Amino acid sequence: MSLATLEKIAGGLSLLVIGSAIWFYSVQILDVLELLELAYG
Amino acid sequence: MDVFAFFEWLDASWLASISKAYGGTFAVVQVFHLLAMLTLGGMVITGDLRLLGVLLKDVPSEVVIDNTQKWINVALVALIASGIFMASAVAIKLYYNSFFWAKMTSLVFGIFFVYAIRRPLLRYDHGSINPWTLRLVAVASMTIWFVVAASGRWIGFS
Repeated sequence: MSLATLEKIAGGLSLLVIGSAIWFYSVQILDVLELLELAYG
Repeated sequence: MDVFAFFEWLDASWLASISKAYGGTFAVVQVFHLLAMLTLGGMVITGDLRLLGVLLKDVPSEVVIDNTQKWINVALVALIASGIFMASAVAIKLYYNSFFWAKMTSLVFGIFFVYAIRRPLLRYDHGSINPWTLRLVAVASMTIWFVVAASGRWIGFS
């Protein structure tokens, strides 16, 4: 596989991984904040 | 392929007989699992932070990646071997745990990322690779192993 192709695949997949992780952990943090709001107003 | 049959077999295997009966042996294997995790995490962070230009800046990144990759291979073999032994003690319980499957999925993806993306890319001269691609791969690599570790810890709290 050429370097240019590998760079495109690696870059795209990395963006997908980072984006998915940010989305997933943001949802977790928002859930915790919602619980804190329910508990303490 | 019947995955549950494999877990039933593991639960009744000689490996499970040892892991369930001998707490001391289980503890020793668990220590090796933890040491392998430390090695994997340390090597991943060292290599990826070098790619990001944070540490070991006076050492060529190719040298750092070559050296850390060897220990990533060793750590993965040790992790999988000790992990199978530990899983044999609670095989059926793990089969029904969704976080165990989250960990396995992220582990398989992590192994794919290391051997199909990161290593082939980093075999090229790092100076010839787009710096942004290098940075993205470094951050994604650390993210994947963070998710594997976090999912693993989540099993214990689920």
